[in-house]
Amino acid sequence: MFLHAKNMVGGYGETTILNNCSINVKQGEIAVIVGPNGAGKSTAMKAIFGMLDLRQGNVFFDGEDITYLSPQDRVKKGMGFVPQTNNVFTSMTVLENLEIGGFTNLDKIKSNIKEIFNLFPILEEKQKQIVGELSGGQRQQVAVGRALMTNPKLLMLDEPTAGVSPIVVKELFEKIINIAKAGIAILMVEQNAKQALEISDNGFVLVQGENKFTDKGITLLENREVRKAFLGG
Amino acid sequence: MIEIRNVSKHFGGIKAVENVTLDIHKGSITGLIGPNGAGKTTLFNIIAGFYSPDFGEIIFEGENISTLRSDELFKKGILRTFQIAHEFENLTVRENLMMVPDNQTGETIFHTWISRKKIRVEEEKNSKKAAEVMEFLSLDHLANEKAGSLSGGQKKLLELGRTMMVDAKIVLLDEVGAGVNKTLLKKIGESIKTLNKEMGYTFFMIEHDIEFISSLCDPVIVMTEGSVLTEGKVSSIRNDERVIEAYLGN
Repeated sequence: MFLHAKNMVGGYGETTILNNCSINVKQGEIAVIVGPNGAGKSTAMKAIFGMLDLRQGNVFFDGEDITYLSPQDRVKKGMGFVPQTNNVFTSMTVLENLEIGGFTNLDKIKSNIKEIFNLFPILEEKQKQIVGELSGGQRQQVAVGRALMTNPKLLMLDEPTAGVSPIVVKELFEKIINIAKAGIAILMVEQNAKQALEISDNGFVLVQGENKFTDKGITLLENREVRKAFLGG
Repeated sequence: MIEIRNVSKHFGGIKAVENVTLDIHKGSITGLIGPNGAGKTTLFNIIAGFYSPDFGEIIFEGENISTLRSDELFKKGILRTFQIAHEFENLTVRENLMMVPDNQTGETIFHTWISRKKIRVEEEKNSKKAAEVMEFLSLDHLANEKAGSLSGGQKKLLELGRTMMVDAKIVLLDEVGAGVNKTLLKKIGESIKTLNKEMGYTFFMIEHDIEFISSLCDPVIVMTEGSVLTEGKVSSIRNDERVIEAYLGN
């Protein structure tokens, strides 16, 4: 298993959010975490990325135990993370955002930017524009592009389609499929759960920090209980 | 109820809102959709008194409110939620809700000395109301948690909850559904319908979830590039080629 987050227990202060939660992702696979609000989805992502100290459990990445590594060191190992909010530098240009994203990989900055412009042509067009002036969907593309600048082997996305228009949701999902086809594993949290599960290989339904259902995306979509409780029927 | 007349707002060279004219009818649940960057939130900010329009005017129940501040509009019954939740992070969920009603007796030092009973009665009333709102939004188990520690979706629910603490005439909802689980969103939709039918609230809502919009809104207004593209029932909007091209996709 490429990413194997095993039996994670943790939370903020005395509050326990993750309750024996496990998440696995294979190479080149798209995995999706869904669940009700406050289920611990974003917390699980933070724990995997090292932004939350675990009380119990381990995170294995590419065969190595990284449980005690800092987020910076995890980036060097090949993890990229796009948080739900505050995921771009709004007072900087698109190009500056991408350049900053490439801090671990100075030799490849130019070639990486070229690849990201191929993936998101709108960013090439707007490269000199301040990110704060861009629309929500374009900002998300900057955020994903910035994360890709480190050449991650695993890209983690926390609600990449929140607040973007339907046409852009489709576009973003298509881009995500393309990224996965390039061999990068994707782990994402999504409230557009139906669409996300449709394009996913595996889905994890979390409830109160525990794994409630784990199965192939399509199988979860067909599960009546999952549909009723988490997908709006 | 609200008449928006030839309203424009420019930021430097960017025409965020350009010559928008539309009506929000009393008792309606009016939807506002459009691509990112179409000017929807800017229009909300103008109606809610965060910006004054560069040109044009906003009429609310016959009165020109274009230059009123947001607190003055709140007193008139115009409430809004934000796309990115604006919670008081160091206050608990209950406290965030209880502080919504304005002119509370306990707000002045003088009254904290001489009007204790009145304050207690008011606070009990607000606390009861807050409990009802929290139960409705499935936030009751988090009543004493600091709002800053809520998840993204829970903060959006708290945002909606704040508008339920006072009697509003019109509520502007800015993407209340983004980041909210679909099953809960369905329940929120039902509450919007109830507030609309039983309490007479008018809603004007920006939303990207087209199913959510379809189940609630009539009419729906579509904006692109700062202007109104079209307006009508969801069924006709969904089949409008221009809307499909600009917003919905195939």
